Amino acid sequence: MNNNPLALNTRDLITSVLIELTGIIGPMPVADPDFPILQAILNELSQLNFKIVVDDINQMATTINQHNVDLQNLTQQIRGTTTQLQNLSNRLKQVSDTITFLVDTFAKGMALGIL
Amino acid sequence: MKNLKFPYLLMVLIWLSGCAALTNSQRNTVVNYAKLTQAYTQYPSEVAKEYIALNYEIVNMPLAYSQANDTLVHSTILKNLATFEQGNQNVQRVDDAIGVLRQYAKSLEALSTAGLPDGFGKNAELLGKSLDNVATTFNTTYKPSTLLPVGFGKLIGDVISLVGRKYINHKQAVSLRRYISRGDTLIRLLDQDAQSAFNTLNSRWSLQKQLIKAQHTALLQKMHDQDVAAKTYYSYELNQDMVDMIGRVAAFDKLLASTPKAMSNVYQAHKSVLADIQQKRSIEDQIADIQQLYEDVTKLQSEYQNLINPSQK
Repeated sequence: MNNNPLALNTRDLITSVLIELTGIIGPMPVADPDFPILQAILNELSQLNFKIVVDDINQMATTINQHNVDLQNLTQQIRGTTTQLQNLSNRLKQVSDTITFLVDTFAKGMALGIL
Repeated sequence: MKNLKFPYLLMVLIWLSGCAALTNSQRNTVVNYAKLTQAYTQYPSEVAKEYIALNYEIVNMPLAYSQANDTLVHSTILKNLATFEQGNQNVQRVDDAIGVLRQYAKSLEALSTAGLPDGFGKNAELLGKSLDNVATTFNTTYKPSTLLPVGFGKLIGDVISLVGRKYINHKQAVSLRRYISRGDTLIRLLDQDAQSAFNTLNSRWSLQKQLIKAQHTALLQKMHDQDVAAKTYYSYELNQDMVDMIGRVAAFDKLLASTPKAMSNVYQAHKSVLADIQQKRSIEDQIADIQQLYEDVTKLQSEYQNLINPSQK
């Protein structure tokens, strides 16, 4: 297997990638006969950290939420005012519509000679 | 008709369009702020989502290179998946928390829109036209010795439209000033909360990045005792995964750094908006506004004069 040129080339490629990675992530590992224990510890640590990660996000939401009740109240007030302004505009429109209708009716009445 | 007092009308208009009304530029500032803030609010939950996803991959990385028939591996995968799903629910909580800011911005945009009195203006115009039609019809039908003046309808419609629009703009400006002033304190506190939350996340993320290195080291160690072919194959696969992971980590680093910074800018911009709308309008703005008012009133007055003295047309 070691004499297979393809395998050797691939190994060279992997070695070069590992050298690249060493520059990015730190020194290469040394063989450790107690590896299974180390692996088990790392797995445990990973899971523990992952739970903490999830708790972090939960905590993040709680922290951001701290002052949101006030902001929510303010938002509702703004919506209320927007609605009031819209209602005011609509009422003025209704008044205008009503007058337009009356005037139209009056005009038609006169045109037909009823009035 | 001579009793129609333009000086009184002018005073009402000046009061309505006085210091309370916002200039177009001030209103645009509020609208732009509201739109930008709404756009920003999607990012905090994106950060949280990517944080959970990256960490999920980190914890699963060693499992991917373990024996498939290992029951411990299987149960760990299920446990990680459950934690991942729980994490995504918490991401939704982040989105809900920041969503209040989104709603606030949406409400500000709705409140500052200039479109509120539009429909009203059109109806006032219709009213004016109808009044003129009545006068024309009356003159044509009854042919009275003194003809009813035609054109008053448009004048009345214009007055209703102008006063109504000014009144709504006045109310709108008063409300915006009040709410943005109150919102400023809350945005400041929200910014503080967000900075605190992101600081915690940042510290944890630094530890997670160290864990990526440790995982990679441990996995390479695991392959050390395997035969060359297996080692070559798995090392290649692992390093490909690591290259992808490093790319995502770099992108996430940028997102994690810029999101709290942008939140600070949301607060800083809110302060500027507040200062802008509280500021007395510049002389140029006031002159432009008064000029507009002058033109509106002059137009009305001219129409009135034309009506009472048709010979001067």
